[in-house]
Amino acid sequence: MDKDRKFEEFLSSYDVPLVSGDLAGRIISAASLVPQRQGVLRWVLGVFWSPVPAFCLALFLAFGFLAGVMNYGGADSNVAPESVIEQLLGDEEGLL
Amino acid sequence: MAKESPDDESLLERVGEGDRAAFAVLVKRHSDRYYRLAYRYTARREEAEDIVQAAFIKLWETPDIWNPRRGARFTTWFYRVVVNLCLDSGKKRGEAAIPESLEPKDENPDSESKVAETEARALLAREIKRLPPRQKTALILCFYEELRHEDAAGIMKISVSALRSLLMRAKATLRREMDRYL
Repeated sequence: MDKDRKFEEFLSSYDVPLVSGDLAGRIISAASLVPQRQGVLRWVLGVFWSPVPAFCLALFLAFGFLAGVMNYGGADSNVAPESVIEQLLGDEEGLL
Repeated sequence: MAKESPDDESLLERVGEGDRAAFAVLVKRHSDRYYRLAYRYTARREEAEDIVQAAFIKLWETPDIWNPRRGARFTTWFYRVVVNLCLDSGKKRGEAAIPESLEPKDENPDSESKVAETEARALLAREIKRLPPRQKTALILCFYEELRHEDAAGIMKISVSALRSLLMRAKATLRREMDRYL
């Protein structure tokens, strides 16, 4: 038991030498030369992460998508058939 | 009445906004603690200082690596950052470097027992350094840093029982080596 205690005491004697000079000061100086990364990404997230801008962005995208779909459908259903009829009528007139 | 200093987590939020003063407070508050950890890992002062500097610079460059939502305290989480850097550093060196002695050498040892003590401490440093990385980490975190077993296990991402087993094996190995000096 005494040997156990002695061993623990001995383990505790593993002291650490003091740092050479001002370690904290050196780290702070080194960091002052380094820019932070991902600043743009953080700004974008900061702007759009809050509920109101995020909702507006989602609404804008949804309207854009719907408008795109409707325009695409309209082009097919309105213009194409008319032009086909005109083409057919033109052919008829030519024959007559 | 003394002004209360802000806690680590609120300082980190400010670091995330690029606040250098908050970063300086964090560094001054914790650099010695992590230096001691790194020194016990590497047994080399310069290397330990470099590791601590690298860890803090990493935190400054990409403060987003700290995620408060995970629930860990900054000090516990930063132990993991420093331990990982120590492990990387050990791999790069191939653990070949000879540790410095633990204390400044006594120029005029006044007795044989003092010489033996100095030798034993140097041996202790060497034996700790030679321990397998996981045993060494367990010993340093639990015995020297006096972390709770739950916290140390969390840092090492192992169960508490596995941590206790590593700790016992580390002590047994050291005990075997050191018995002739005790």
